[in-house]
Amino acid sequence: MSRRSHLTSTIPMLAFGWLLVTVATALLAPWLPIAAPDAALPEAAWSAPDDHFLLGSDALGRDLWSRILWGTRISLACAIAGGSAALLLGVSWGLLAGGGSSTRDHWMMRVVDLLDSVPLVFLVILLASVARNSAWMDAAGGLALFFIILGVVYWTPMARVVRGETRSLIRREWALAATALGTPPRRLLWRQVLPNLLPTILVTLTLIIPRVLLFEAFLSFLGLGVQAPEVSWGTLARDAFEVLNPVRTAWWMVLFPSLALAATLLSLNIVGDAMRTALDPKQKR
Amino acid sequence: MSSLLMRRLLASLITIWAVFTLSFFIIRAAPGGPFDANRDPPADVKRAIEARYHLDAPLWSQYLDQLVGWIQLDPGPSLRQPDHDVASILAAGFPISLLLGGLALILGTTVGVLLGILAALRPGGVLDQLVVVTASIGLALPLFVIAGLLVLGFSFGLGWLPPAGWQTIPSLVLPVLCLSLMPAAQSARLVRSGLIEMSTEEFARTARAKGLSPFSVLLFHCLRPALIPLVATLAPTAAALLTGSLVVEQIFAIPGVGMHFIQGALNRDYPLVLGAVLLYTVLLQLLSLLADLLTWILDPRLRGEVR
Repeated sequence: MSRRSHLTSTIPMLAFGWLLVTVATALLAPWLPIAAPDAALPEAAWSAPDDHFLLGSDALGRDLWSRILWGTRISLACAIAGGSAALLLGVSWGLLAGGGSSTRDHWMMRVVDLLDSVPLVFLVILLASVARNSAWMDAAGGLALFFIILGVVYWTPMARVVRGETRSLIRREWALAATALGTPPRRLLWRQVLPNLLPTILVTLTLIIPRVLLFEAFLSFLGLGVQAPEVSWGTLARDAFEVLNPVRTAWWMVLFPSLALAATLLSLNIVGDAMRTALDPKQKR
Repeated sequence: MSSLLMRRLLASLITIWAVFTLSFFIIRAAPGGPFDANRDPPADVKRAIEARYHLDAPLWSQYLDQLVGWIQLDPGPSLRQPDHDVASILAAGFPISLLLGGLALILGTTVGVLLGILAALRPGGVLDQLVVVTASIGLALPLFVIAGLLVLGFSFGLGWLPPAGWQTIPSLVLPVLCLSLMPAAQSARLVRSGLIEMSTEEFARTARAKGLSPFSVLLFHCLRPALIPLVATLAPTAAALLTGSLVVEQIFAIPGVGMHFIQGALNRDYPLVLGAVLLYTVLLQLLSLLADLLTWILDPRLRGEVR
């Protein structure tokens, strides 16, 4: 297969199309002809999918279709927050460690090692519980704090990869030549090495983003992530499980948010795989 | 080897201590105490509460107190369940979580290894592709999506299995099944790729050349070296099982450590949360130590280097 055809065959294209639709929905949600996500119609609670409620309604009679579309915004915003933390913090940390003296490299990577040896998921749950209902939440806004948490957890893999690549790139002949010609080290790193790192960074990002999305859903599902009145796919799944009982089975509340999350995660993985195959220099045949 | 073991143990102890210290200061740095959500008590009542839980002592003495308490396995009372102390709550939940996680690990690994062998019998065949696709879908989806679909199907659709609880054998089926999916997918992938790699090695070619059937070469010659990566990923798998158990215990209302942990986190019951975090950390460190030892036993090539 040529490098191009990895990206343009049917399944990656379908997955990419789904991602485009999701992003467009997230951006356009306020202008779409749908009910407000928090407009409660108590007399229409628990209605199964029909003409009026396309995907049914929840315990307060809110339109599930509209809540899923609005949930897209927060879920994607979390993915972007985690991704940008990986980009900003991870890339600069890795670049500075890999491009610096061996002492600096050693100590910067020990920090990353320490963070990776600590079970961060549990510490994050602890942090989320401490921040609940506290002045931190009011000051920073619940979501901002949550974004920072996501960022803190997911920058270390990026730092590792970038540091490794940087170390191997600055030993290349062209880098030595640039140094011999008098390029200052900082300029060499940011202007010459960084552009050569772009494929690696892109590939690592495609691995990190689905994990951030998964983690957001995980925390929100446990009730420690996104807080009402904001909606994300994780909180929608939580709402569904809270009312799941044999007396009244609101199957649509479980099924549709799960499907939205599942389709997006699978699409991200498929597109990521395709990009990895297309960009990975080792797979050039 | 013994000096290596000592160094690993020391590193584990330092990690556990770092987690304790970090957690302690995260908790203390938060504005607002655990009792702030309640109605404001009179000043002397508040002082009495603070004295009861030693919240009025200086920070460093609270830190030392708690550290000594935890080392003696006596972490003190829970803030939300005053009749119970943290140690007894965790001790009540631990066997349940251990049973759930242990069953899921055994079931998942067994099924995964079998599927991996089946897939590696004919790489690229229908069965192989089926296993690869299922495994990557299983690893990509969040646990609660899979659990939700299973509960809808088997409990509410077909009515075969109870949707929650932990008392009867049938109620064990769904939680264990959900939790075992991750280790199953993971081990199927690892065993499959390990077997395919090993069957191109020279020892496998020799075995085939002397007339053994490809099946027995795969099973008796290639399987053991292919299991090494499986053991090496024991620690990350255990970590995933622990986080998975948080979700599964929540969904199926199982009173294990995970449920107390999440309840404690939602109620801001700090001693309980700290206890659960420490329990998980110790468990993970023990497992990664065990994984290192097992790898050393399984792989004779490592023994020369380690001394």
